Amino acid sequence: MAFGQLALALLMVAFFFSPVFPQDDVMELQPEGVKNFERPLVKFSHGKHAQVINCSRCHHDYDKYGNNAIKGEEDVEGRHCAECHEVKPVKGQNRFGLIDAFHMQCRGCHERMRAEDKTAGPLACGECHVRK
Amino acid sequence: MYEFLTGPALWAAFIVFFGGLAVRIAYLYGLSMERDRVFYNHMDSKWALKSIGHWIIPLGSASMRQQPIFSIVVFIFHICLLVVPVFLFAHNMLWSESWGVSPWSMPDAVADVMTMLVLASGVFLILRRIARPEVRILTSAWDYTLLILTLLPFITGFLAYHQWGSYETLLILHILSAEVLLVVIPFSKLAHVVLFFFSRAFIGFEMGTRRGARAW
Amino acid sequence: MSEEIKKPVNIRKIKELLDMNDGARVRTWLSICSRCGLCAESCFFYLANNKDPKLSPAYKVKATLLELYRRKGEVDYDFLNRTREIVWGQCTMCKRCSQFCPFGIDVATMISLVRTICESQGVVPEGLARTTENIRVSGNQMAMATEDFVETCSWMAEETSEEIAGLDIPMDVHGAKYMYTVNPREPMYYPQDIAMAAKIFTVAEESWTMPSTGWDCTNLAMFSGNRAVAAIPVKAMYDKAIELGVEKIVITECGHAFRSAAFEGPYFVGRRDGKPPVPVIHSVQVFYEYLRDGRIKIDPSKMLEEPVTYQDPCNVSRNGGLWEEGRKIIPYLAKDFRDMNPNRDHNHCCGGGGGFIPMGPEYKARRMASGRIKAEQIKATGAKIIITPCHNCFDQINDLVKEYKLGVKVVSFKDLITEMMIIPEKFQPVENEEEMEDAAGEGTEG
Repeated sequence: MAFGQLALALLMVAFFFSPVFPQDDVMELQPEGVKNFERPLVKFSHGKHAQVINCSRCHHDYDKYGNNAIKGEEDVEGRHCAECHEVKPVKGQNRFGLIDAFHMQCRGCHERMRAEDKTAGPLACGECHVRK
Repeated sequence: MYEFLTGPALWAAFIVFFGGLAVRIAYLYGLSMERDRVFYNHMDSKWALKSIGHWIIPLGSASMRQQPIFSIVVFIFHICLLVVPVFLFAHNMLWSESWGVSPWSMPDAVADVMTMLVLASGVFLILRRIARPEVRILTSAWDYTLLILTLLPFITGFLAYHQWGSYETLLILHILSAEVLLVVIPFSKLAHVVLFFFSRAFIGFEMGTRRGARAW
Repeated sequence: MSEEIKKPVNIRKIKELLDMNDGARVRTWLSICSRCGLCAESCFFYLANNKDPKLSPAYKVKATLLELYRRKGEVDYDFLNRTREIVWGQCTMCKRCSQFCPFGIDVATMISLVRTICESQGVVPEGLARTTENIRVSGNQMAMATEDFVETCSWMAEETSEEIAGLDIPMDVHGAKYMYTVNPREPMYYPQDIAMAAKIFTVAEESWTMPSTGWDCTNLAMFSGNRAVAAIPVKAMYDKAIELGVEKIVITECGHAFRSAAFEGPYFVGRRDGKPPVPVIHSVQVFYEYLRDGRIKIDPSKMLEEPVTYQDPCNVSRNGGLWEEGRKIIPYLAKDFRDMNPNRDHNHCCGGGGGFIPMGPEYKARRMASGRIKAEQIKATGAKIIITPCHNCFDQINDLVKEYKLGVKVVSFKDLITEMMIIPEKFQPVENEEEMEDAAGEGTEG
């Protein structure tokens, strides 16, 4: 009944922190500080994702053992990837660079979901970076 | 499909490619020890390197200077052919995701131009095969096949990148054709990716060591 | 229908030869040729015959060796006869295409293998078959008896000593520095060539000898493809040199003899290191050293005024590495030297190499047609005299001079040096018989 619980949690979150979904359906992911994008920006359906996964999955804060310090229900509003992930990865900090972080986040999850045989989002470059 | 092609199929293609080339070289080495002792009598690295060097530098040999346009086109063709797949950002993204490391990447705009150069020079090579009688007479259907097979990953990659046509189909074709190409290389004349260096080295010291004659 | 034609092709033998030679090199060459066609323009057969694509080196290999492997040696006389016309009638194994191939594919080596296969079935141009048989029977290509050879030498010694006092043609001298070997046509038809060499050696006060056996340095069996027979003259020469304990073997002004003795011969006789047991040098090296060291002095008043050019024999230059030696001799002999283009190791074959000249009259028309490139090269220099240290080049260019009305005189280095050298006092004949020897330049070969 994971889905039920999740839906419930989401409902609660929606209820208490309704501004969580201001961008609602589709937002354009624009990593801060990155210049010269090689590909069209990704149109990300935040709402759709929020319906099926925990916010903290993306809005995470991993410690050095890979444990996520943010639990599902906490306030993640306004937490951007760029707050922690520098455009160029800093030596010594065990963090991906910003672009890599995005790719690992999206594609990594899609890959894992597929491996678990769940229907999931696209893997190929052009499926996210869609040209008009 | 995508997962299969970028997973097991890619592993298989790389194993056949590297393994095939390694086995071919090992086999030829063994054969040469048995039947080409001539090979080793006059071996000389200086002449071997000169012989390779003069044919790697554009217009470095009398033969290339005799057909400068063709030679420069071939040069551009080979450079772009090798550089684009290795230093393409999208490819390196995948390396980096899987292994945590990747080669340096070039801007997509550069890769785009280089891909167009591969395609343009490829078309030139096909037309030259048809147009010049001394090349046409040597050419069989297999030669055209190999040339087209070489261009296919670039055509499909180019179209997929620009998302002209059905993206999913093009991407599948792109990966598939590149894998077929990798598999074909060790077993065809395309094995010259490595055998070039051996045959050039041989003629270099064969003509150079004892006679001082240039093989370029 | 003659008996020979009825005899079936010995497929087993062909298979055996194909298998024996199916080594790393042949395999690599046959499999990586990318059919780029760059070799075509390196080949004078192609250039001289309206750029017939069938004359490109790659096609010649494709139509012969590649086809033999493809058919696994199962071919008929029809195929072999067509192959003969390609490997002998369209290639002189000059090796120029190897320099123009991006992969450095050694076409000449593969053509040589096809010649061996054809020869094993008796499919070989008659002229070469004859000389090969001569070698097999007598050890030299013209089947000259040892006594006749020795006699010719002593006759020449006698005659020439009237010109140069104390001249001798030493025979089988142990411990001499040089063993001088010749082309059988010299003792047979142009004995004055031997006399000229003797004059030069005498004036240079060289320690030299002629061998009574193993004196034939030529090797037409190398071009007929019979490697077993090709070993005979080479072995005789090496054995004699070892027996006499000479320092070096000197080759007369002949191209393929040098290729055979210095480079291919060691393999014919099974020397695995690929080196002759006694160092082999060519006449041009010896002559150059004499001039450089002042052992031979040229009378400046006799130097050639007319424009002179130099024909690089493939087997002396590209396949012998001696293009500079020839060019260094010329300034001693001529005032106006004009090089051909291309030259040195990139020079075109004259069209008479690879056994073409001895292949006889049935191949002459082709020889003349493909020699056009050389004729044009010569014409472009504007030279009146052409020097070449090779018997084959000499004959071919003589024929080309007639065919293309070039108005050029062909000479060897020996011709010029003996004509121009200063004979020191001590070699002047005591009794001055006013007997003029025929001008050394007439009717002699390089």
